[in-house]
This record gives sequence, structure tokens and C-alpha cells, in this order.
Amino acid sequence: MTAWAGRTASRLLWYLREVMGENAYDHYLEHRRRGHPDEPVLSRREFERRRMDERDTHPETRCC
Amino acid sequence: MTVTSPPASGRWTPRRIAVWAAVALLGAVAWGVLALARGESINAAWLIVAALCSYAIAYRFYARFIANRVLGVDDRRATPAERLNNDADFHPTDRRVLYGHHFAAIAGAGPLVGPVLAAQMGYLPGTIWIIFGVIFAGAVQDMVTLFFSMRRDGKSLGQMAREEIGPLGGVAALLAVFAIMMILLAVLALVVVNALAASPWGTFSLAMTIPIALFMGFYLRVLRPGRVIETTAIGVSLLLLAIVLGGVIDNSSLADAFTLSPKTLVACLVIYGFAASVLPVWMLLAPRDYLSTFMKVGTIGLLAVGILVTLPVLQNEAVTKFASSGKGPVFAGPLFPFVFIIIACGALSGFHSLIASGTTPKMIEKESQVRMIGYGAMLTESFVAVMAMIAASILDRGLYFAMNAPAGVVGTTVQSASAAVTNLGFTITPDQLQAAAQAVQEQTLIARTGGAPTLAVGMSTIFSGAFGGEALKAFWYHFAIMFEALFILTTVDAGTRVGRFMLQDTLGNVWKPMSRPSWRPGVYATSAVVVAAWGYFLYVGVTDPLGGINQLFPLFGIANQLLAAVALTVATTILIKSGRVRWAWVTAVPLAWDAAVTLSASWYKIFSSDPLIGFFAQRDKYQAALDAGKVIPPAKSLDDVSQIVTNSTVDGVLSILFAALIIVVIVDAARVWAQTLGGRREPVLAETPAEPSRLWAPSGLFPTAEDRARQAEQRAGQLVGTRGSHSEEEG
Repeated sequence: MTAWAGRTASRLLWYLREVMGENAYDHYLEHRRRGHPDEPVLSRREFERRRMDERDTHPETRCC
Repeated sequence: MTVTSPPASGRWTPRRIAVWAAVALLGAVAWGVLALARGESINAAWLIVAALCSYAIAYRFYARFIANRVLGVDDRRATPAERLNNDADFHPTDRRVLYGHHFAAIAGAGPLVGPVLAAQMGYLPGTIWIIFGVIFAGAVQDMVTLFFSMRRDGKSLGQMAREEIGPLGGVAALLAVFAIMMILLAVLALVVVNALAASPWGTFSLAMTIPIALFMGFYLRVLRPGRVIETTAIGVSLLLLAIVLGGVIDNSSLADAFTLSPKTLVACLVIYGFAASVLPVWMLLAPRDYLSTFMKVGTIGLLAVGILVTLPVLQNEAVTKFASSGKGPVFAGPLFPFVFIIIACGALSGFHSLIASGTTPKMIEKESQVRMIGYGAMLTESFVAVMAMIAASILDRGLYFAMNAPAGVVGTTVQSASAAVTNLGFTITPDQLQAAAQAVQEQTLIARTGGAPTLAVGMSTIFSGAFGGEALKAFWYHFAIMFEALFILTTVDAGTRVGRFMLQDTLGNVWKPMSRPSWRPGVYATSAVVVAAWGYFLYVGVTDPLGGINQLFPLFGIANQLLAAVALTVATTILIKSGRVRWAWVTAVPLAWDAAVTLSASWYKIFSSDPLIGFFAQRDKYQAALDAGKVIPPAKSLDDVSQIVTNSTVDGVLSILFAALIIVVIVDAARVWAQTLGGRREPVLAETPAEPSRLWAPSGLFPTAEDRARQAEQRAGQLVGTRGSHSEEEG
């Protein structure tokens, strides 16, 4: 029962982190590691800044 | 889930047959109860059961048929997310996460407002349309648009219209998109204005979202980069605090400072829209988007729980007399076509095709997932609309009409409203009206049109029944107002920005510097044009002596359904051009229905001789009065009369424009269909060539036995996994 509750909680947290984009930096690191393992990576601050500024020129429509 | 191996997908075991037979039977019984019960009160549970059983069957059978037979989804083929993965706009995203993104992008205030207005004709017509409309039209549109855009590297609806139909259809589609956005933003903003006018509590809470968002933006940018959950949690706590504080403000000397007239609110909204469009998104737009998404999903979930816990009884009739007379005070016009126009979002919403051809197709992992994401998310939105219909239908009928009839009908005092409601054939005493307003701590509930206050009263009734009791009724009312206003404003600020970019792009074709995002004069000028466009209609709606919502909401519905016609036309064209004419009915039948609805509504709005319905008949009536120097009610002065003349003319011309656009798109596409079917034209599809996929992911919510087998292969190193799919292994 507690194991089940723990697993459910960890899945919910995973879902929340994915949906809200909190994992984006981890995915970026993973992507770089796989594709370009020798190149330097951005710091989290710099990465998040660029990711956000990308939205400046690519606004997403929100529907009604 | 059992531990024994489940049957291979598609095999019909006796147990599976029994389950689906039971679902079908239960759904049929629920529909039977709804359809046959007359003159007795019905429990909301029947609506929920009818909806859920219908959705389950549609998803299992119809959506599967469309995916496999009509579209021919092919999981051996790599999606754009896999082929073009740049870890920015293109990247494979877990299907459940993408479903969440997609749902948050398509769902908003629309499915909550339309059903409230349509409730004037009874709960049954609206509910039937919401459920069958979504199954055969709305969800189909979303899924096929998502699929076709995915096969074209995520091209937009406008680009697909140009490539598959031709330049004329393309230009008409682009114009339609822009015009619709302006009307949509104006009508949604009008809902907010009507909800906040003369409500210091609501105005204060909503005003506080701006400093809260600015703080969140700063926190996320400077203090804790990327900690979105933490930031949102702080924001939501502050937001709840703002709602509680609003109650304090309401009873203090500060109340006057937050009691704003509708015209002042229009000015505030226009300034806010402009600011959100020109400021960097990290300051205002992005943090507000986090807040609004969180509140949206949370409140919808809360509403579902509240309804299931309280299982309220409906006060509304199944079909009211206004369904046949077409003379209802909330909106005028007969059941066909107007119920199908008033309820757009939740049944068939053309606006979704912009999102289904926007970011979602660039992130989808596997082709077969279009069913869960496109069709599934739209079914969820439809369920939100059913819940809104329930919330509106549990209110006392007298209160419903006192709130939703325009001030021109019910006046401004409890006495005049009580008399007007009695005239309509319902009863509510002045004392009861006063008590209802006091229960939610509002100055008045009379003529609070737009749907949001009605929904908020319904939701506060449900919530206070489920959690907290009577004492929290005012809190829940303002909670509901706040959450609607919050995500309407998110639509308004995002829409203004998107509109600005569309305008910049278009003008950039004529004069290069306009399209540069860094050229400030261009940014300011295009933002000003966009806010002026929707701001004009908002102002007109707020000041219209005939009542803005009943004048403008039908136009919004027509515009939204018009965009749906464009999307369904593009889809039908692609089906015909790709040699699948025998399946083209899947999109052609909803297209025919949608065209019939939209064009006949336009016909009424343009040619009806009833001044309540036809814009030009209205114009003639008031022009004649103006010429004679007569003031006819609800106008109070000659200025009012001349304002009605101007508004009716503008609305009438817009109706003509919308009808013309839809005819141009369909006729232009029909030309392509005829040429293709007659063999006079070799069909050229703009589809990206297939490339084999090296990626595996389940199609549906739960992985099947086959999925698990593929998963084992993947672990053995033959296939590449996608982000987030690790959690599958625990299942």
C-alpha cells in the first residue's frame, strides 16, 4: 500500500515536472550528451533564459 | 490491471464484449432517461453517464476507425519530432505530457460560457449537440488536422489551405483566422468586463494577478531559473490570498476604488493587452500562463469532483418554450441554427485547428497518438462543456433569466427584474433576487450577462454543497469568477501577441522592416492595431443599448464555426487528393453540417426581417426612428438610437464578410475536388516523404501487451527510447 502510494506520488511528480517544463534542462543535457558529448553545455540560468526568450517571438495561441 | 497477460489488442474476448455491451446499454438507458423524462426533475448524474458512455464508445470505435482506416496512421514512419529533433520546437514528447499541453491550449472559457447561454432553450438540445457534435465533428476535426499537419512537418492551417487548395483559398483562410481572432478576443474580454463591472471583490482579485505575475516572472528569471513548479505554487498561494483579501476589500472603504464602470474596465483591458504584447514574455505573459493553466486544470477537476459528490438535481426543463419560439431574451433566433452557433467550443471549435496545426504536431512521438491527443483532448473539453451545462441548469429558472437577460429587458432594480421575469413566464420575488446577490456578496445579479457570473453562481452552489457549506459561498463565487477571468485574460494577451505577429508577417511582405521582431516602432504599431481592432468591438459590446452579449456572441460562434469549415475543407481536400474519396465522408459530412449551420445563421443575421435577429432589419427600425426623431426602447436617447444604427451596420457587414469567406473557401476547394475526381488534374500532395522510425512509444494511455514486447526489445538496445518513457517500465 505504501509502496503503491509512493509510486503514484512519484509518477504524479514526474508528470507535473514534465508538463510544466521543469525537466527541460535535464532533457537538454541528455540531448547534448547523446549528440555532442565533447562540447560545452549552457548553465541552467543561461538555458532557461534562452528558452524563455524563444517564446518572445514564437507566441502560442491559447484557445477559448 | 491484472497480472496475467492481457489479450492482444483487437481480439474480442467474451469479457471484453461484455464490458462494451454494458457500456452501450448504460449509455442508452441514460439517454433514454434524458430524452423521455418530462415534467419531473432529473439528476445531473444521468447527463454525466450519457456523456461518458458515449465518449467511451466513440473513442474506442469511431476514433480508432478514423485513425486506422481513414488516415492510415503508420507507426513505422518517423514523425517530425523524431526526424527534425532540435530539442527546441521539434522534440518527441511523452504522449501523456503532450495531451496535457494540448488540452491546456485548447480549453478555456469557451466551453464554459456557450452552454450557459444555450441553457435558455433547455438542457437537452445543448447537451445532445455537445456530445454528438464532439464525436462526429469537433474531435474529428482536431484529430485529422493534427494528423495532416504532422505529415507536413507541423505546417499551419493557413499554409495547408494554400498548398492543398490554392492561393485564393489560402488568402481567405488567413483573413478568416485574423477576423475570428479579433471577434473572439473582444467577446471573451466582454465576458470579463460583465463579470467584473461593479464588483470590487472580483476586480481587486483580478488586478492582483498582475503584480503576482510580475513577481513570479522575476523569481523565475533571476532568483530560481527553471523552478516552474515552485514558482507556480507560490503564485497560486498568493492568488488564493488575493481572493480572500478581495472579501476584506469589499467590506472596506477601499471598495469604491475597485468599483469600476464597464468603460473604465475596457480601457484597463486594452492597456493590459497592449503591454502584454510589447513586453518580454518572461515578465507578464509566461508567468500568467503558468498560473492560468494550473488554475484551469485544478478548477475543472474540482468541478467534476463537486458534481459527482453532490449529484445535483436540474431545475432547467429539457426543452423550453424559447427553443421553438426563438424569442428568448438571452439570445434571439430559433433552435436551428442558433444552439449550434452559441455552443461552439465543447462541440466543434474551429479555433482548435490553429493549435492542432501549431506546436502539438511538432512534438508528437508516434503517428497513432493523434487519437489520444487530438480526439481525446477534445472529448475532455466536451466534458467540461457538459459540466457547464449542469452548473447553469441547477439554478432557479427565475434567477437564471434575471441574470442573463440584457438590462434593456430586466431593467436595473430587483423590482423591475422580478416583473420582467414574471413576464417571461417564470417567478422570482425582489427579495429572492436581493438574497441571491447577498449570498455571494455582490451588489446585484441583475443582467449580469456573458455566462461567467451565472456559471460562478452555479459553481458556488456545487462547491459549497461539496466543500465548506453556505459560509464559503461568496468565496467560491469569486473563486469561479477569478478563474474564468484569469484564463480569459491569458487568451486575450496571448491572442494579441499572436495577432501582432500575424500582422507583422503579412506587412513584412510589403515592407521588410515590419516583420523584424526587434524593430520597436513596428512592434508598437502592430500591437496598437490589434488591440484597437478587438478593443473597438469590446467597447461596442459594453455600450450597446441592446446588450453586447446577445448581439456579439452569435457573431463569435459564426466566426468560430467558419474556421472549423476551413479546417474540415482542407481535410476533405487532402482525403480526396490522396485517393481516399470513399472515406471522405468522415470530414465531408461534418463539413456539410457545419456549412449548413453557419450559412443559415448568417442568413438569419443578414436577411431576417425580425429586428431582434436580423442586423439590417434592426438597422432599418432604428434608422427610421432616428429620422423621425423618436427614441424607442431600450434606447434612452437619440444618441443611443444612432449608436444602435452604427453597431447593427458594422455587425451586419461582418456577417456578410464571414459568409462570403466560407463560400469562397468551399467553392475554391470544390473546384479542386472536381478536377481531381474528374481526372483532369494530377493530385499533388504536399506531404513530407516517409522515413523509417527508430523510436517506440505506446499509442494509448495504457501500454498494451504488444507495447510491452516492443519495450523489451528497446531495452535490449534495438530501439531508441524517448524522454520520459522510463516511467512506463514501472507499469
